[in-house]
Amino acid sequence: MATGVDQAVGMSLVVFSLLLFTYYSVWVIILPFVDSDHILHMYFLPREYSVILPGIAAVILLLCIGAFTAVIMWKNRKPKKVD
Amino acid sequence: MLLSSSLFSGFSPEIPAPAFIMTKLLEWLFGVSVVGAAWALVSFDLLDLSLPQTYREVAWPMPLYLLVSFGCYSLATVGYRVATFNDCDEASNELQEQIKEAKEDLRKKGLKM
Amino acid sequence: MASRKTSPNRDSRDKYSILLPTYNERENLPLIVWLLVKYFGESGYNYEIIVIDDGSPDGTLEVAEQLQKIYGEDKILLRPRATKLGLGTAYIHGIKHATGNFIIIMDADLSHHPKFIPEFIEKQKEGDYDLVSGTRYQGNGGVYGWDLRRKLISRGANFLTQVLLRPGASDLTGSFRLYKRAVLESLVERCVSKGYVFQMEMIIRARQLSYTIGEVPISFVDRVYGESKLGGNEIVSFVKGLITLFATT
Repeated sequence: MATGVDQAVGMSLVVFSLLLFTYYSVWVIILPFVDSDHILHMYFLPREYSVILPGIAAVILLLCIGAFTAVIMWKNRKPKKVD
Repeated sequence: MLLSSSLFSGFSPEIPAPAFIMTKLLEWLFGVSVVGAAWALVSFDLLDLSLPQTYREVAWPMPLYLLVSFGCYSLATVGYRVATFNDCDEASNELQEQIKEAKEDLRKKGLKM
Repeated sequence: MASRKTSPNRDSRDKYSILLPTYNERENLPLIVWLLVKYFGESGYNYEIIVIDDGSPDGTLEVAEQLQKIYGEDKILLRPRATKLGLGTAYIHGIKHATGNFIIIMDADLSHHPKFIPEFIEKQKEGDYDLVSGTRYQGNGGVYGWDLRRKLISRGANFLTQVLLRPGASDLTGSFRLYKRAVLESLVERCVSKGYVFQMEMIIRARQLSYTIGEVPISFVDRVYGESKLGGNEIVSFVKGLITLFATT
């Protein structure tokens, strides 16, 4: 058994991803088949955002990874050895 | 996919050095190309199949959709695995007990720590 | 028909050589040896323990010599080296002096518990596996002493490895394993990585060579976590190693 906090964090990640996946799937796959005057469309942003938002998220993620790697490599710069 | 070669490889003689190794990278590139070709075919109507507009509208964001889905799958899988990562408290307790027992027994046998 | 003996394991021709590379394990070495002797004694398998000390300044070798007097030179073999060299070379060095047909590798800091070794042996016999790997991620395997951050990193790294390399084993960075002697020899001479990635590369190469792999859930008791946190350095070198394996195997 995992401890309480670990279980809570883990399961909330699961729930969050399921919600995100469901929302995004409806947005991209279901909505085009639904009439444009159906109220369902009210809950979703205009379709262009279904490309822009993930795009921005991906850029932010890559920037974070790049920054992290750069910081580590910077810290590893060894000064020239003096024997 | 190993193709045997008659070249001496320097490794144990029973296994010949392969001339070509299908690396995981190459497998991925191949898979991505296949999927990419299928996507381009539908989205840009390369074969003049004249599919209905709604199908094309669903098809063209597919690469991004697959990436987002994979992201969600990764997050959910790692989250689930962290939630079910066993904490072995009993193992630690058992070890503590055995350490005491071992130290006692070794002292009797003449070990100087 | 020969009558059933009470400890059939003792008569088998199999012998298990346990390689214990040590560096500053003065406190832990007697304990791990005691546990090994206990569980091998109870199960009846033939064994020997090979201590490969890399010139530990804390007197680990002295303690090893005392243990040799207590348990016998046929059970405890000392094959020290002058300085701290890599794990791969420690294995090669150990194999040269091993008389067993099976080799067990494990950590000497008590994070791996010898009670699982009989389970490894049984698993190996079950499917005549070329190697048996202890896994912390399956069944009732697990870890003691890890906080949320460590668990997230561990599961995340393992997930990434599974996606990229599809290795067919659940725990690639673990170092508690049982190998057939010839299998270990052929793998060690092919592997070039260091650290975590070395253990990963062993499994990947084993897959490449079509060796069979069995798994046994183990519990990993981390008592040093507080002192040596998993830092950014380890993460970056792990990713580098992973990408190298991805592109070359």
